[in-house]
Amino acid sequence: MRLLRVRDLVCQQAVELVTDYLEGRLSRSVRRRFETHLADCPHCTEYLAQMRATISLTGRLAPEDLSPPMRDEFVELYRRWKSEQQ
Amino acid sequence: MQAGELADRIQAWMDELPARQRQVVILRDVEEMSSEEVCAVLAISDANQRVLLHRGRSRLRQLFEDEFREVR
Repeated sequence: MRLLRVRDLVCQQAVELVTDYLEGRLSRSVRRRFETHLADCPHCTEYLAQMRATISLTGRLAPEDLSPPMRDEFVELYRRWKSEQQ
Repeated sequence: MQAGELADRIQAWMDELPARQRQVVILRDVEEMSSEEVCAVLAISDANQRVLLHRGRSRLRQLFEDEFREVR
């Protein structure tokens, strides 16, 4: 059994880094620790795969698929944004 | 699942998110805006955008997982 080193990530930390990892926002050293953790951890590997699947599933929704209340919400957001730019 | 039915389910899952998380997820993953554009449209900081995106996507992942576990 390998002793847990201070610099090793635990699963909870790895899960919290998933979005920043997918965004390419991790520093090189943290990315390396993240990938090292993944190489040893089937659970976090599965979690990362599920996050990717979630993003691609959401991406299959077209803007026209949004419900009328949600569309209205975005029309309002855009309107406010545009008016603030003037 | 038919395409229209799937869109309805994703829509229903989106409804479960708090408004800010939902807005960030839709702008990033449906409208395919960059993080910079999302920060500008929602008038939020970069750090805030990342937290909202992470929480929103994580919650959706959980909802998808629950759904697919039921199907099995």
